[in-house]
Amino acid sequence: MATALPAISSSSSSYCPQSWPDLPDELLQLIFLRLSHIQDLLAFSSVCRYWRSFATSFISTSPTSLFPPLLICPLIRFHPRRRRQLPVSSLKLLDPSMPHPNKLLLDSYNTSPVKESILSLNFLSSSHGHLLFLSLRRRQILILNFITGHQIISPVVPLPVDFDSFFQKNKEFDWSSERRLAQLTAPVSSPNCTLIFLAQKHLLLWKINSTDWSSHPLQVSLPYLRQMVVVGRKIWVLECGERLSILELPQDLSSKVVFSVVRWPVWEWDNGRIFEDPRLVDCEGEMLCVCVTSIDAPINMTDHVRTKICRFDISADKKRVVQIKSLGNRAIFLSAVLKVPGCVCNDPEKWGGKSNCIYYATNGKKKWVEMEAGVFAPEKLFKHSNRSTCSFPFWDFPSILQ
Amino acid sequence: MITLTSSDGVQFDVREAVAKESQIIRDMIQDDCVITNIPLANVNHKILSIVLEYCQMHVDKTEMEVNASKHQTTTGEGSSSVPVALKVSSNKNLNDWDKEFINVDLDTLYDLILAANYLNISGLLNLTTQAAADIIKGKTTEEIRATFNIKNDFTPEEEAAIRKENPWAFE
Repeated sequence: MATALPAISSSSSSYCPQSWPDLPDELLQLIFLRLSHIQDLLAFSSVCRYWRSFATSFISTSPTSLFPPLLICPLIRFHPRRRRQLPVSSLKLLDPSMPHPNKLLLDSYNTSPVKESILSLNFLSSSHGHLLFLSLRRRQILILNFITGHQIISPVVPLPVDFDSFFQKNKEFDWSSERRLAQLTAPVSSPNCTLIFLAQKHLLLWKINSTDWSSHPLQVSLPYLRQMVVVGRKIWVLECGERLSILELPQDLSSKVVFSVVRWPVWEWDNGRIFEDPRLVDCEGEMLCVCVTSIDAPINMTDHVRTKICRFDISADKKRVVQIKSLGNRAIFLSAVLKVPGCVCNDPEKWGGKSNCIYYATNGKKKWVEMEAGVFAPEKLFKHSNRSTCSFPFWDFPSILQ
Repeated sequence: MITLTSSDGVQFDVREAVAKESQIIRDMIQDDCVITNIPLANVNHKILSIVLEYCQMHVDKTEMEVNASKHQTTTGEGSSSVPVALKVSSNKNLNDWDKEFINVDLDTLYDLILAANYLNISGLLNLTTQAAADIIKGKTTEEIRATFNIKNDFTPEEEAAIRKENPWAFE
């Protein structure tokens, strides 16, 4: 008895693909998912219209990152005597998935049209593949895609009159605290992307491409900040000294921003147990607290690093911190630059990385150290000796195809 | 035995186990156990013979392993170390064989991807799409176009804009 197999599938039965550019989406996706470097992805998506539209729509709908973040090494110079931070002059991007990761990939500021104006800018953070700068002179925020050089400039930031003096006073660079933080809520290409700017009592929101900011005065002042991480509608803010606040963005930007957990001091997190140098890391919607403590050893002994990873468990009636033993099949990317949030990458072995590993960016010759999560590691993280020419690198996922 | 007929009318007589490497054929046989002849409208005889070579090899290897471990248990040698070692070496051989097998020209690779998808042979689909990805890796856009014979259908203006946005891709 003979039975014919059904035609391929209802969606693709109407045409018969003849060659590579006609490969159906579901098969193109299988190939695309097996690429393991950002450069391959970029090359792939520039081949033809069909491959480009496939890559663009796939990336914009894919929930997790396919690639590790890039290490961004700003070549910042410091004033030799006054220790003042001078503006970013150029940028080096390193890809940890490349066989020779210390290769200079792109010196974007040399090709960027903002080369001149960037000299008056103040670095705020990096978010969704964009560097965020505040122009003190123009009182605007510049959003710069560090891959493509594409720029977006915000409307004038509606700051109160006394803010000018506040900015002037705050020119001194402090290693551990910031007076203002900025983040994007989503990739710039997504329809509701909003820029968040936080300074003291002022939370300002600008929906990208809208005409103006919306201002949300807070009940309490947050003068010394460490970190701001945005997950969905929640803004997690870690203050110096150390307190955690969670703010909730309103559905409608004209409504009020509310504190959902009001200022939870670090010593209450876990029965008085110490959290040294805590950082917030968004791990697929779950907020982690990662502590990487560098311990200076006495002479003739190796310096070492202690890592501790916890998970915030914040439900309606109770809040607590639960220590976790392993990151599983994930890697976390951290740096000394607190105002730039850490990154998480799933399945790092795909590009030759290590699972359950913390990649910590350093300013030494070795651009980062790899530490197994939760254990002691004989590493030296920082080189403080020559601050006048040092540059502290940080990680961020590139935003491509926009 | 089952007879598979290619789109250009060539008949292949294969063991049921070999044909059942294809999920879609496995489902058909399960649904209707008297099927003996299956025409395959989307696979020509050249590609079908390559696909069947793959299925044959993988079935043979699996059966060899099963027999080896059966032999171990029936002869009562107890220790499981031998079959494990055998399995490891046979997996290694099979991987080497796969690597050699997939070393084909790009037109054949393309047809194999479509055939693996059509017949739903997951191992072959993984192998072929990985091979295609490996060919793309490390190439510039121009090199990918030349290798896969893909026409650049962007306008010069679009091309210039893409080049500006993705300077890496054209390095």
